[in-house]
Amino acid sequence: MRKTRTDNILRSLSPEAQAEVARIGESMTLAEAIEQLALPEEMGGFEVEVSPATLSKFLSEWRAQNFRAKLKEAAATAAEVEGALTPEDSGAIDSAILGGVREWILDSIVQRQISAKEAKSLIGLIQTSKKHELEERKITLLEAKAAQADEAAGVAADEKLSPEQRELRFKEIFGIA
Amino acid sequence: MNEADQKQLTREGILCDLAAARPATLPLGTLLQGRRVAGIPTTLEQLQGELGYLADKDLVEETASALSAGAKRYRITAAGIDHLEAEGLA
Repeated sequence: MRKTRTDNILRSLSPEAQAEVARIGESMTLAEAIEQLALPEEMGGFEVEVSPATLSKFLSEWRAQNFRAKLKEAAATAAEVEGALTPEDSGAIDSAILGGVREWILDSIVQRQISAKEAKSLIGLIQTSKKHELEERKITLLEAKAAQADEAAGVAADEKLSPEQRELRFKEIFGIA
Repeated sequence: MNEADQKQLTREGILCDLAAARPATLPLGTLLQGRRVAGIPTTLEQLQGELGYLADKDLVEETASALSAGAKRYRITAAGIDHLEAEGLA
């Protein structure tokens, strides 16, 4: 026997069952979906009788819920991109630009112009670029240190210099006042 | 559904959408999309009217877009979140 349910019955189903009800509701007319939901479980139904108004309300709430999940994901991704640009770069990047990046990422994901995955790829690119920049800085620093060491070795080996002159040269090389 | 119920649903829907995006801001277009997705037909004028009402109640704040000069964006306030929690909607 079919079970007669209240307006809340669809909401009391498991999340998986609610997703299935939504799939059914979105893939056919309201009348067809109501018939499908009333079928026994072994026939792909849920043995529930709902009115068109109840199913329509459930589907509207379902869509609104999905839309909010999308907003949440977009906002989190936008914050992640912003986080990838800060804090080390915060001095270099104007806060208005950061705000613009955040708006653009969020709006683009919500309007499906880019996916959250693509936005995350952007984070990867920023992080890789920052890593390369850091490595280049390290190499430059090491090269400068090696040049200092070579120059200091030359001064140490220069027998023409007095101890005072040598000390002065060392101070010049290492920037000691 | 009478007009008062419709307004109430629209206001709560706007607040719920802004709460989902919090702390980010949303433009009018996205808020309008949210109302349509939720099956509550809302015109741009109605939406702006309701946002004005929510801003007067300090539940929402208006900010300027960083990208489009003159374009407005909206953010839910702490009072807006409190309101949703009090209504069991957050």
